[in-house]
Order: sequence, then C-alpha cells, then structure tokens
Amino acid sequence: MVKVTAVLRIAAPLSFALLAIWSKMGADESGVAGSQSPEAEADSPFVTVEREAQLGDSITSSRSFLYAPPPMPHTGMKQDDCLNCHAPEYDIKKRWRAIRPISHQLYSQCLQCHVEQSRPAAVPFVLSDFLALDLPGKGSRNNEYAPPTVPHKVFMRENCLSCHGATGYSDYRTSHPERSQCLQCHAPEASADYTRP
Amino acid sequence: MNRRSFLLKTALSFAAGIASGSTKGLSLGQPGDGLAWQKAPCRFCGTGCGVMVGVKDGRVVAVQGDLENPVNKGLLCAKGYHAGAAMYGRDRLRYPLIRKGGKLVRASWDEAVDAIARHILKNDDTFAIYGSGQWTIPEGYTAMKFLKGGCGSNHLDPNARLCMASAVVGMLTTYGVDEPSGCYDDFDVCDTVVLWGNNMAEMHPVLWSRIVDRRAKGERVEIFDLGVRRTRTTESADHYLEFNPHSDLAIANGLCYLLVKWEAYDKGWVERHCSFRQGEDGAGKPMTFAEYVSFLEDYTPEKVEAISGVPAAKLELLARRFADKSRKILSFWCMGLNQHTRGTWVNNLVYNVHFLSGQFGAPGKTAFSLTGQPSACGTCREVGTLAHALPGGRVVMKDSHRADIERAWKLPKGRISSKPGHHAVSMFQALQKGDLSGAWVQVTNPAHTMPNLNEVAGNLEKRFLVVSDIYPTATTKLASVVLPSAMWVEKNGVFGNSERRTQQWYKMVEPPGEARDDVWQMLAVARRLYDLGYKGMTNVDGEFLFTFRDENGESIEAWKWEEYRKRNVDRILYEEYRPLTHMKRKNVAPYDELAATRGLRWPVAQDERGQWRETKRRFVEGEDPFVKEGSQIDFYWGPDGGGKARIWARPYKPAPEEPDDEYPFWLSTGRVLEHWHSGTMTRRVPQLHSAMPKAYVELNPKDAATLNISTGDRVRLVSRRGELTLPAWVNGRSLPKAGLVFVPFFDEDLLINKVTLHEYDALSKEPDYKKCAVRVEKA
Repeated sequence: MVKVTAVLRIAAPLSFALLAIWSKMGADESGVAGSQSPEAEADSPFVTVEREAQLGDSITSSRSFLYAPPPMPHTGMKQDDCLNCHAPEYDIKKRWRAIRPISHQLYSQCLQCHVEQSRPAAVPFVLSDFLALDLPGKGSRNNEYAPPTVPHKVFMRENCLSCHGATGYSDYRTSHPERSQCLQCHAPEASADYTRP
Repeated sequence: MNRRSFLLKTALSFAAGIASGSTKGLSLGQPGDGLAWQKAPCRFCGTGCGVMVGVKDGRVVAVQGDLENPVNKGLLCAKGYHAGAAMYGRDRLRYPLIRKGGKLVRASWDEAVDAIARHILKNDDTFAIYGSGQWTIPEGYTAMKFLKGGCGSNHLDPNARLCMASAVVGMLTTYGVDEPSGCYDDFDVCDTVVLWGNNMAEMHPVLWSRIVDRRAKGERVEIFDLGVRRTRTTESADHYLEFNPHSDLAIANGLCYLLVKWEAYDKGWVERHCSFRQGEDGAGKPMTFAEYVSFLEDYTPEKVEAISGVPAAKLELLARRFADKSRKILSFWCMGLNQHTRGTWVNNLVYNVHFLSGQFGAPGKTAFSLTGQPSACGTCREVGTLAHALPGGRVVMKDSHRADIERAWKLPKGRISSKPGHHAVSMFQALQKGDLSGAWVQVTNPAHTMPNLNEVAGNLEKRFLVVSDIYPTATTKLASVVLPSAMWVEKNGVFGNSERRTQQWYKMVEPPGEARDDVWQMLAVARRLYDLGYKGMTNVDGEFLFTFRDENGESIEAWKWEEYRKRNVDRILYEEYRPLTHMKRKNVAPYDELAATRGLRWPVAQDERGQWRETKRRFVEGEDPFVKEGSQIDFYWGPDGGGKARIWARPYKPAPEEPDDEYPFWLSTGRVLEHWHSGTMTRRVPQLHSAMPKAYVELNPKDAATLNISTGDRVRLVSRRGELTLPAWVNGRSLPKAGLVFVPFFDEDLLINKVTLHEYDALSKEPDYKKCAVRVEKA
C-alpha cells in the first residue's frame, strides 16, 4: 500500500508519458494502476516504452519542429525539480519508467526553453500554417553491415542515449546500448550541421 | 469515476489537444537536403541572441541557437526557438485594407499609398508616426527622414518610450550620453549580481542562464534579488529583499548612506570621475560633497526600513558587498526601474551606488540597463526616433545639430523644426482630442499597450490611423488603412541590442501575399507625395528626398516594389546613416563588416592595420578608442566636463497613486516567459499559446484567503480608471508580496491597461505600468 501511495503521489505532476503508459495498462487489463511498483517497471523499461510508442509518442509529437525544445508534458514544476528525474547520471533502476535523461549539457534554467502545456490543451489562438522541419529520416550507410551516419545535428543532442537508449523512442532505439562511444562509429553528416563549412 | 479513469480521460484529452494544436506539416527528409541555414538576430527581446534560420522550399522550417554568436553561444529561450513558427499564423495580413463604410475591405497598394499620401498632403503638421523598438535601423532612419526631414514635423516617437526612456534620460543626466558602458562579457566575470526589480529568468532568460549556469562550473555568483514578488529569478537568488513598490529610491540612497557613513566608498574613484548634483529636473545645480552627505541623512537603515519594508540588516548586508573592494558587482534592471514615475531618478541612484563604490568601468563591475525590444537601442536610441531627437545622439533643439542633418539630407535650411513633437502618451492624447489628425503606426500595438487605455487611446477609430503590421491586432481593428508588412527574415534588417552590438541579416524568404517591407511602404508614400507636388519630399537639388544611386551613379527607383526587391536598400540606408553616428562617438560598423560577423559593439574603429575593432567597455582606457590617454576612465560626454559623471541627490517621494481604503491593493503589470509584448506573434505559436493561454491575476495566498479567492475563481480588479475580470492564480508561478496583485499584459482579450495609470516620469515621459491602486473583488 505504501507503494501505491507513492505512485499516486508521483501521479500528481504526471507526465504525458506516464499517463499514456497508465492508460495503456488499463487497456491491457494488466491490473489496477499502481499495483506494480516503480522498481518492477524499471526492470523492464522496454515494455513501457513500447506501450508509449504504440500510443503515438514520437520525438516530434508535441514539439514545434525537429530541433525545437520539447514542451514539458507535466505541470506545476519548479526550476530545481527537473534534474531530480532527468539528470543523466540518475540511476535507471530508481527512475520512474520512461523518464528520459536530458540530451544536452547541463543548463540550469530548464524552464526557459521547456514550457509547460495547459491541460486540457488550450483552444488554439489562431491556427498555424507553419510547416515544420520534421524527422530527418535514416542516416546513410555504406552497406548492410556498416554503421549508419547521424542524420541530425549533434549540438544539444550530445547524450545519444536520451533518445536512442533504453528509455528512448522505440523507433530509434539502439540495438547495442552497452556501447557508449557512439560517435566513433556513427559519423554525423556534415550537411546536417550548420556550423560546418 | 475512479481515479484511474479520470487520469485516463485527462491523458487522452491532453494527447488530443496536443495533436490538434500541433503544427505538423511536411516530412522534409534529410535535413541537409535542400535545407539552408543562415544567421539572424532573434526577432524578440533586446538580448539579441544569434539564431540560425533553417529555410527549405522558400519557408522557414526550423530555428536553432547560433553557436558562433557570442551573445548566446547556441542557447535560446522558448520564444526564440519559435521565432520561425511565429511567422505562419493563418491570419497573416496578406493585402492592404482600407476602411469603407465602416468596414476594412481589400484594396490595392496603389490605392492605399494614395490615400495616405493625400491625407499627409493636407495635414502634414498634424500627422504623426508612432514607431517601435522592433523597427530595424533602416526602418527607423527612413521614418525619421520622412517625417522630420520631409514633413518638417517632430511628431515621431516609438513604443520604446514606454519601455526604456527612463534608462536613456538616466544615462544622459548621469554621464551625458546614452547607452551602457559595460557589456555581456561582464556577466561572465562578476561575482555579485544585484537585480533591481528585474525578473531576468523570464524576461532575459538567455542572459540569466549565462550568469546562473556559471554555478554549474563551480564558480560562485552571489545574487541579490530586490523585488515586489518572488519569481523564478528569486529561486536562483541567495538573498531576496522584498520592498514596498516605489521605495527603490530610498533603498538606493540607503546604500549610499551606509557607504559614506562607513567611509567605505572609493574616495579616489569619486574624486577623479564624479561631480555632485542636486535638483529635481534634468539640469540640476552643483552641490558639494558635504551637502550630499547631509542629503543622505534621510536614508539611515532605520528610515529606509520604515519606507521600504526591507529589514535594516538586509540593507546593511548588501551595502557590505558594495563596501568590499574585492567584489565585482553587476546591477541589472529593466522595466522595474524604467516604468516608474521617478524612473530617471532611480536610474541615477543606481549609478550613484556603483560610482561611490567604484564598481564601474572594469570587468564584472558595472550597472547594466537591459532592454526589452530587439532594436530599442539600435533604432530608437541610436537613430533617435524620438520626438526631440535626430540621428546619432543629436537633438532638434540645437541649431548645430539640425544644421548637420539638414546638410546630410540636402534639406533647405530651416526644414527641420526646432520644436520637439508629441511623445508617446501625449501623441495618443492629442489623437484623442483631435489635435493630431492621424498617425502611422508601425510594428507596434498601441491600442493594447498604452496605459489607461480608456482615456489615452480613445477616439483612434475617428482619426486617420494607418497601421503597418503582420497580424490583426487591437490596433488594426481601429485603423483607416491597414498595410501588410514583411516580418523579420522576410526582409533585410539591422538590429542593435542591449550591449551596443549591431547585427545584420539578409532576407531569406518572401513575405506572404502582397505583404511588403515597412521601408518600401514609406518610400512609396514619400514618392507619391513628391509626385503630388509636395515640397517636403524634394531636396535642395530638386531631387526626390530618397534618391538612391547604385555603384554606377544610376538612380534607383526604390519606390517601385519590383525595383526595391531586387536591391539591398537596407545597405544603402544604413551606409547613409553610419557617418551620422560619428559625432557622439557612437561609430557603428560598416554594413559589410556586420554581414561578415555576428555583429560588432560600437564604438567601432579601424586600427592601424585597417581592422575594424569593436569596444567592449565604453569610457575605459585601453578598450574605448575615444578615451583620453592616462585617464583610466573618461566620461568624455560628462555633462559637467572634465571627463566626470554625476552623482545625483534624488529624494524618495511617494508614488502618485498609492493604495488607500477604497483601492487597497497595488497593481503591478508585466510580462511572462512565453509571450512577447502584446502576444500577437507568440500567441500564434501553438506550443507557446498552450503554455500560457490567457492572462490571470496573481495574488498573495494570505490576501487570497482573506478575500476567499482560490485559483480559478474570477476576480474583478477595479481602479479609478477602469476594471477587468480575470481568473485568479494563487501559489502559481510567482508570489506577490502581501497587498500586491500582478497581471501580465499580453492578452488582448483581457486588457489590463484599461486599469493602469498613465502618470509618467516628468523627465523621461515614460509611464508607470508597475504601480497603481486597485480594489480586488471576487466576481
């Protein structure tokens, strides 16, 4: 019961991801929400991420365009709260399911870029005709066994595992999360990097 | 409904909402594929972050922080990342509109240009231009030449009057010339930060990060936040000094009192670089140091505590920092000190503190005025699009200054009027009364942002109001003619930011529909006036006032859109303006240098090898090329001569309207992180709108409990001028002090400026949006 309470307490500032998982759990008839402890879930993070992916969460599902900072899917946060869960060194076993570590170097003022979204979502002020730079597609590879190139810029995405690791997006997850020196094999495409000549 | 199904429902409605508000469009394949990146300064605030704009198939599809720009080093804020998306609201103005039979109907450019020219032809002395700190430098320069050179009237003022006029007059009365001495490099080396009523975390987020992120590297930065509400900025501060609104005057004097009493002020610095001055106006009278000391007797810590509510011990703590010569102290302010009925005075007083302590003119030691618009400095202050000013720090009241400009523009002698025109608030009062027949409003939204709207911005629909804008706004609704404008990277541009950095960008995409550059709009009307025989648009050679020539000396018919769009008219206008900056040593860099760099900070001068060198710190020997050798610090425009700046005795006086029994609360207004000014651009970005969909009133929880108000309740705010009902937010993003309520001003459906006061600073003419008295009622 203690664990159930703990889950409900975490549920107060719930993330979209979390809600998505939860709703999926209901559909699976996998039992009452909260009957599984966070620890148990963390042992099999892939399952929850799959569920999340099935619900349509993708790297661009809420952000304005490929390189835009994703909005925050939960509310009521203070500046100091973010790294409690999103710090890259945070132990995955202790982290609640699919919470992603930050992808970039430590800027301390998270909320200056990652803005909260109102719930329920606000009626649009005026519709937008913005056509966003969308997913970059796959990097190119020389042959079937060659490592693909990185098709997007690396600045602000220095921590590859944020998107490609165990808690990342299912479509882009690495097959070899145990390797940490990603760029030694996956060379970033110069054309995707505006700082290159 | 059990808890889980409730959560499920919320989750689904949230997901659906995001999808419907989403801006998904094309999948564009490989980013490198046909995608080109080009530099520009950000469209929004005065920080002047560098952005890289991604363009594909003639559209802006992405924006990134520019790693090579020293202002932001790759980082942006939520607004900056969405500057591209802000261009694509579905209701962009695409063709000119003219009011016929009470309705705005589609018209041709020719018809619109003709209507404006014919109105000015008959009313040239009662026609005003109301511009903006979002004008590019060439736009402001064109407007200035159009009205002051062409029409011979000075009724030209920018919205920057509402924003940083007090900082300008503060600098002019303190060291005789506008714009800060320090620069952003100081942010990287200071060890103590003092925020004077400034919520940097939301208003200048990238600069705030530049300071606070230093802590992550193990550097120590002690932050004092002086404010009337706890904000996101306070979360990172070491000390919070909560004061009663308007008592900042007493606090600054109190710090000076302690420095003098402890004999901890920097005697040598003050003797070398300062003179003392007293009086309420801009000129004042000289005073001795002894007289200044006796003036300060009114500001003992106990007396300051009684006025401000800041405990004497906290004031002493801050004063001890200023007394510590090993410290490097940086003060920041923006609207808190500027939108103030004693704005000039309180600006003067902050310099006093820094001068007495010698905390000025060295790395990390300065008093830094932040600006809110991307070119408030570059256009309004340097070009001088103000009712009394001429380009490059000149004023219309001075014969020699007018003569300079008449010569430069080839005007007949006496064309420029010596009488200052209407400043912003007075301009709209004159429009209301009918003293002005009409106005051309560009890049701003006065029917939303003027204080005390009911009284100040009335009758606009009865005048000949021309509005150049990109979206429908509160102001376009009242217009006689609406002109669709090109925005940001739909045109060439030059902005000047808070640290004297001039930045240039090239046009990257075409404006939508028939939208055209503001510069072109003015050239077209000027030319029509010329064609109609209006003398003002002719120079002494009998040529059109805006005659441009190409490299071969051939005249360019820039008033024709097809001709204009083929050329870089911006470069011609900027290079015409550039020599005018030299008189006051505000030498800006050549256009081509700006194009090749991420901007340069003026004064920019060539060294012996012909390299253009920028200046980090003005008035500082070894950095500023115009400083006298051996002087260390030389305020070379100091109003008292001798390279000295003034320390002013400016007293604390109560605000013009303070809470009483009938109206017991202070009302303060301001901005939020997500929206920029009146929200016309940022509210059209789904992510930003969803983050901050509407205005609210923030209350202190104790006040809320007393009034039985909780979050979401509708609350009516009533002042002597108007009222507004809006939802309450208690324990939300910020925590106002007891007795104060705060409302953001971005929401055009909840116009808080119907409630605000239009009293303004007698010297700067900047109104006070931060303080008036209201009654708070549960609606």
